[in-house]
Amino acid sequence: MQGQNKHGFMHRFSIRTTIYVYFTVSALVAIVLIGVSLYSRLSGQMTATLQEENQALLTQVNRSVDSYLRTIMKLSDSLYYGVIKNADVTSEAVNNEFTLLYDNNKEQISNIALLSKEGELLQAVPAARLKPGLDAAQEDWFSETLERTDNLHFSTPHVQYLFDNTGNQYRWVITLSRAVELTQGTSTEQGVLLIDITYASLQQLLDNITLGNGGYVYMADSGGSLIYHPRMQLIDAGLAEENLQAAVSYRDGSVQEVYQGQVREVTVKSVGYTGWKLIGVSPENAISLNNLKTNLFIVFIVAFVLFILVLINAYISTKITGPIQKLEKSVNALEEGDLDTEISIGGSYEIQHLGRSIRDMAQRIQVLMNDIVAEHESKRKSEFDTLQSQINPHFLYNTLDIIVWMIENEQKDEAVKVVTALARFFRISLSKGKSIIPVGDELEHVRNYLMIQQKRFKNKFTYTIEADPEVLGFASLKLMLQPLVENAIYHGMEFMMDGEGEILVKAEKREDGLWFTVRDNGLGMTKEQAEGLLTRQAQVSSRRGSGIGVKNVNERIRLYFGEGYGLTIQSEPDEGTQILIHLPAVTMEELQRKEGAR
Amino acid sequence: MTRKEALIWTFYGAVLILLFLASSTDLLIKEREDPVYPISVVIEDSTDEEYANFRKGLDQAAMEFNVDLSFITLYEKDQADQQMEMLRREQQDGAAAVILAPVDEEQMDQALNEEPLSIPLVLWNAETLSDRASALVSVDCAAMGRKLAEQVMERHGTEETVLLLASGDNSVRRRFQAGIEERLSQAGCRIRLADGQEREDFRQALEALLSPAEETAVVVALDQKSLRETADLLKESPRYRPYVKGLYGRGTSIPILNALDQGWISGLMVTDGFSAGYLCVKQAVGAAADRLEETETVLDIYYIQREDLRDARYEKMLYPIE
Repeated sequence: MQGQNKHGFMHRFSIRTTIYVYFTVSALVAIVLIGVSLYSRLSGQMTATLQEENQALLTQVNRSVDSYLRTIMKLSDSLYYGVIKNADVTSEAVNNEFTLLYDNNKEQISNIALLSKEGELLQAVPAARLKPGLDAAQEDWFSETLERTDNLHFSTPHVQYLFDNTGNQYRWVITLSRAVELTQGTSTEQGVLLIDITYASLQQLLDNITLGNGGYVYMADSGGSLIYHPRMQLIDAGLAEENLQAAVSYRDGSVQEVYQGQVREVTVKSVGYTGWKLIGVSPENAISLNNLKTNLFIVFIVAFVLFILVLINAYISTKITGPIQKLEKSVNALEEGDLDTEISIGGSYEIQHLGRSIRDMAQRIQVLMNDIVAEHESKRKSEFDTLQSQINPHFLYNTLDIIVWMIENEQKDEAVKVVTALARFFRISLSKGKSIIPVGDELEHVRNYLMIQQKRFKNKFTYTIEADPEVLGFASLKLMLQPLVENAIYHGMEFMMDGEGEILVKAEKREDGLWFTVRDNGLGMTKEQAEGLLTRQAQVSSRRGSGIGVKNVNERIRLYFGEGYGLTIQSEPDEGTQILIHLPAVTMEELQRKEGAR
Repeated sequence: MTRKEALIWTFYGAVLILLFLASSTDLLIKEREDPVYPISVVIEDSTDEEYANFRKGLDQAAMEFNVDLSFITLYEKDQADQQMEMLRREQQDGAAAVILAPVDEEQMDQALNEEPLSIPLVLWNAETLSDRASALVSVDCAAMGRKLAEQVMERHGTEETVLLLASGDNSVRRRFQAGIEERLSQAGCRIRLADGQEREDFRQALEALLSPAEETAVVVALDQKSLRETADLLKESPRYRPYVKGLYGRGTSIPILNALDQGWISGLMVTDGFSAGYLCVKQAVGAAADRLEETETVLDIYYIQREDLRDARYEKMLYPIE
């Protein structure tokens, strides 16, 4: 039931609609699959590419910062190893060197100072004095520097406060300090070399670095103090926030975090030597194609491509189904009986072949129908002829004449015989209008005929009728034997001497059916004449006998029983003629059953 | 093609056109534009010396919120009429909003009642949010005065005369003064007020401590100019130092912070000027874009001394990084 319903659903649509729908759905699925795959792939690729670019940018910035700090460190090394070590630190030469180095690096350096371990200012460029009341030796950074003499120490950004500032400016600096050996006479003692790096110069390296849309870079020390942030002031004022503590805890590399409801890609790179961390932050939506217009564009592209495909589909399906529809129309016309309708031959090879087959079939139907009509016409004509023969007036007149003569000549018994025979003859001739009668009746019919004719022809011939009892019940065509006997009489017996003529009528069953033999020893005929009997009207005119020709008998046999049955004429001139009739050996009941089933 | 098919095709075509217009043009969906807001700031002074941190805050906010900022000073300090005139001029010039540090709030209210502004107004350091203003960023100057008075009394007791020096007259100074006087009066301190415009006026006020009778006093400057001038006087002239037990005031300009650092100023009341400027612009943009979130913001006040200048907590507030 379900299968029927399923097929029933599809059967509601034309082949064009089915092709259309299937193709469109397939195209849509393909487009969506391709679109989704490409979108995911592209989006992923773009994300990966942007991430790589961000990483590369961060690496580059890291290198810049590293290089910058190394430059300052090298400067510190130059000052120490090239100027301070083993030199009289209070000399003018040292000050000149300091000044030279400062002048060459003014953009990056705010102050260079050399302090003794007691905090006394030994050298300073640009020239300055320590703030009154400030004891450098008490500062934490000072003691730390002297404790860890191998290291260079970078402070976090701070306002420069060591030196007296009388102006209206302040400077943010990062202090690089290191322990140095100061030579004083023959003794050496520790001191501190201090370089104040201008914060602005470091800020310049990091300002305006953006990572995608809304991404940024900032720097912090390992303790979580900000070194640089594009919104540093706001963060310190509490007007903005940053996930600083978490970021400094990450190792170098990329990590995804959620902060204030936003998913972000955080990349961390350590700056060499200082322990500072360079942190790049990219919001997730900055590296995504997810945007209303982009999504609409994708939908547009899919819809447009689908539109084109549907147009192509419509064209193709019309090209395919058009000829089918035309053929269908032709078949509909055929169905309604118009066998002369023109069958459309077109389309693909298969449809053309189908069209040609249908056209041939229609022609064949036409021919068969014509054959049937012809057959029916022939049958009707045969029936008509037979019917007509059933009441042949000439045979009747002649026979009645004989009867009258017999009566007039006191041959009443003979007259009775002839009348009886005549009555039986006509009774069987009519047979209530049936075309098929038992063999027994047909033999009876011809017997009566022969008897009458024998009287007419004054016993010019003798006749014998032989039949196996078993064949008497078989079916036979009515008025089948009589015309042949009539032919034998009028062709063979007419010119015979009295009693010399012999006519044999025999009915027997053989393996291949029912056979009748009508043999005479009359004049015989040539082969051509014999053939002519079956192809044209008999020479015997209808006035002499039943009027039905041999051809008519043959035609009727073939019409009723098929092409495999009929007459065969064997004749030799002056020898005689034998006509064989082949019928199927079917009983009347069998034949009636067959006709009932038809 | 059947009528139904033709309708479907037509509809589909229309959908395609709509999708194209929506996705590839600005006709249906406009790309989010970041408008530029022209915003004017009108202060009560003729110079921006005392607004250095405030301006840095303004600049930071201008960068973030896409603001075209105009900073307007008066021709003459504390001129309320002039200030209102500047206000209207900025409105006429097409400002999307105005930030105003009112000289006189009552006069401002009166003027705006007579002729209201057609653009949003954000008040900086007014006492209350006027009906005519959209937002207020302020400092509680009276509380500031009270706190300073307490610090003064804590250090110097209630026996010392407190000399109040003032330059100019505006609402902020009046509120600050009221707070100081309120606390000092409550404690029974002697208060003397001296107004001046120039350094000479302040010198005269200090001279008054020397003669006719010598007396000591704690000097409290009610505004930055008088504080700065008095600090300079103490630095330049050692003769006043024995008579000035301490110099106090309010302000965050670099000369004042330097004077604190050098010891000429004993204590200061400060606030976060950078945040003030930033918030004023933020509120102005919010008002101009019709998405104002907060209408009143009161900033914290702090009392600092010299050693606090290096405290990380105050360092960035007093010396904002640009």
